[in-house]
Amino acid sequence: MPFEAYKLYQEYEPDKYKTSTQKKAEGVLKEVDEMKRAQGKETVSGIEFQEARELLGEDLIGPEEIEKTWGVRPEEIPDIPFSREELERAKEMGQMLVLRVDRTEDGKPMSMEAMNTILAKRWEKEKKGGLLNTAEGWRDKVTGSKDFSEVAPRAGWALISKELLKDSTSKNYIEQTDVIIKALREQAFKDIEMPEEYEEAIREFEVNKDRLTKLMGENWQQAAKELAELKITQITRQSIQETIYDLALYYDKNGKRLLLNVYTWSNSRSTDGRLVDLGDFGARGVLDFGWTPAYRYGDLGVLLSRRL
Amino acid sequence: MMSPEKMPHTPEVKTTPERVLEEAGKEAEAKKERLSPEEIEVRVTELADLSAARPEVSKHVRETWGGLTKKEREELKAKGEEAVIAHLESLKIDPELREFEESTLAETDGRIKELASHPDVLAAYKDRFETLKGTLAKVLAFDHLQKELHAAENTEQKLRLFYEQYGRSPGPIGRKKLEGLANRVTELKGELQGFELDEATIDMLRRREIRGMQRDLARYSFAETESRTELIREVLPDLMQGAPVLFQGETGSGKTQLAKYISQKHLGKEPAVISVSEQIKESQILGTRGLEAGETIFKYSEFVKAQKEGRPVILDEVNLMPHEFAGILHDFLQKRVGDVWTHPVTGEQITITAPIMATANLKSERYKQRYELDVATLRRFIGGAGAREIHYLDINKKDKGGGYIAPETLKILGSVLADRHGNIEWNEADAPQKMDELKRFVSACRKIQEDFTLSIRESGEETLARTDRLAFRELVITLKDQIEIMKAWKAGGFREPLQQVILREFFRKAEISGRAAKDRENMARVFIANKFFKDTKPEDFKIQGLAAQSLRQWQGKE
Repeated sequence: MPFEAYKLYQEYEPDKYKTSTQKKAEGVLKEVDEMKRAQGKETVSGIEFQEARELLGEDLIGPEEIEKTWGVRPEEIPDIPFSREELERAKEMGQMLVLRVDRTEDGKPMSMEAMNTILAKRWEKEKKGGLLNTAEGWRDKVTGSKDFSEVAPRAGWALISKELLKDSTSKNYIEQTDVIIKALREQAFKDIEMPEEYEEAIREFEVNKDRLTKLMGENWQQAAKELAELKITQITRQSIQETIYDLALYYDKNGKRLLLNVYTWSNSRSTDGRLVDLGDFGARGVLDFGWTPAYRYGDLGVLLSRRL
Repeated sequence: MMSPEKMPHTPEVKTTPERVLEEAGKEAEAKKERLSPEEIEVRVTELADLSAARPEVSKHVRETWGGLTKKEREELKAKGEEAVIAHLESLKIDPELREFEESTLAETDGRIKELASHPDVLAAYKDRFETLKGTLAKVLAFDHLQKELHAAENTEQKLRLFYEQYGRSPGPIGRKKLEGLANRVTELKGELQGFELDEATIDMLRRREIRGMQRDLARYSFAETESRTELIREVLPDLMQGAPVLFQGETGSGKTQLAKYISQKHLGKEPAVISVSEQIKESQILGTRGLEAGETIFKYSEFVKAQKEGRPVILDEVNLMPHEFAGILHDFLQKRVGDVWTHPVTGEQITITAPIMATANLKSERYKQRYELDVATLRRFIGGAGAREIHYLDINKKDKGGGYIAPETLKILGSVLADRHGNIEWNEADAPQKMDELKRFVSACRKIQEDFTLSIRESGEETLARTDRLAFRELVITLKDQIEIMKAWKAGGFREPLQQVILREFFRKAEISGRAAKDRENMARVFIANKFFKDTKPEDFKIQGLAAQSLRQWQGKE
């Protein structure tokens, strides 16, 4: 499929042409703002949404993109939970802002199966390749059929790195978590007050770190379970459903494949208890592996993802 | 949304497959094989690709026959083989090339026929064609509204300026007209705001924009991007009144090309370009005496001839004009359309119908005193359409996050890289890497242009040494250079890494010594900082005096 030349610069012209849906979405946001203003409430989304759009350009995946890719229009658009300063920092860090929805148009969970079904035919028609490499492989070997068809991404806005965190490759799961904490302290929240949830999650990890390191060598299944359940894991790593959701939206909107030749280690476990890493998002779709937490490899790193 | 009756008419034309079938005397055959919807879709897509490519293929054949149409070719062939050989020999066309193009056209038509002879495929293709026509109608309607809006805004602005300049107030009819224009502008803005654009229409609008730039680049060696359009809109009303304009800027910022473009495209006249130098003679400005058939005649210069013919004059590097010609120049610069200028030698009275456009290079402090335009001349431009500064595209442009961006450069380079349909032949797997290469290239060129600009303005080594800027004294990489590199990259089918093309098309094309060699060295350094030439050897740059050790340091090897 040839590359449209205008994709080289269209991100710099966000207002040049707008679809009817975009205009409607802006209209709705404006109305909400006006209502909020009339009620004496602070406007949180409208102007900030526009500001965020201007600031992040193609790296903001909002309601219009969701409607275009998943065919579902969110009934309510949640307020963006990040300040301008945080979004500016996110931009510096090469992150994107994604609105995640957990239901399809007909009210079913936005599961891997649902995402695959929604996109398969259209992507094939548009010669965009596949989403899951392969859907059967994912269902039978990784998630099991229940998780494959029922588990959805956590709804709301999230900031996600588009590239693996620097120095996060060739590290085991615990060492990767150290890299995540370093990125939070030295980049994401540098000179910005870190929310208490993060402080708490970091404390929990540090208290348990030595024990978990030892446990990795003795009982990897238990270590994987505990590591996946850690607060720091839950609030800074994507689930597999979220990674697939984010990759699909970004690719569908911008024509760029993230995690092209590399993998990110998620917070999800496979049916046999391993921690699932996924990536290598080529024309065949997203590929998965499951590893014990002590594993290290040169193409395995981690994307930072935060929802608050 | 615009009502259907307001939509522009798109003529009922036969599709390419229909025409090819007709020419071959065939019709879509009765259904012979049953195709699934997916199979039909695949064939329709192929048919669409072939139909889109056919005009280009056909044009190539025509070119290899020296511009002869199909009918003319057939007539020539009917005259016999000798006539054909004589024609082709006179054109010095490689017969192998002609055969290749002819066989390509024949194969294209053959495949079109094969695909279109299935009635289901042809019907599906025609459906797709109709949808495209619908999209095109929307695009034309949107385009039309935009053009009308620009025209109405321009007229309103021009009229208001007119009243303001001459201190007049409009009478009742004038007021009514102005009010009507203002209302129309509001109405058009409303229509544009309410215009329902879908993804397909936006896609086509953007592709047309690319195509428009490709045409302008081919015809005028200039492409109009937002900042230039804005500038043209500002100066054009005054230029049409015959007021002069001065474009000042760094070397290679496109001043002369801009003046030529305005003249050709917006004023519809071929300009006379006069290259001014310190050695320019009076004869080059006014004309020379000569003898013709034993009689003394006066031959007008290009400058005067252009004035007589109503063509704009471009005085290139007007700042070099010797002082003794200031009088003539000032006289001209004060004239407006309809004024009369009397030729000082022949006494002929010439009515002015076109403006003077001038360019001046911004000089470094070192040369400033010597080459700067005198105040009296500058004032005459300021009193005309203005003395405008033209800088490299996208200079100092940043996004809200403070990052450097180069949207207008990317737009122009994108149109160079694209085919006539607006696509770049990058396959899906390579596209991210190629895009990254291109953006790094643009970023390096911008850095060079910015540092060059700063070098020209600040001149002193000390200022530059204090910052991360590099000094460029004479050489810069211009938009034209970037375009040439892109053309070479495209011509090679994007098989070569971009850095190879930069090396071949830019660094190796000229071996330069002295101060310019230092400029090239700095250029190499900027490219290396943008992740190019990590393993390139010193001799590959062809820069005299480039030290291997310095290069290794920049490459991070020492």
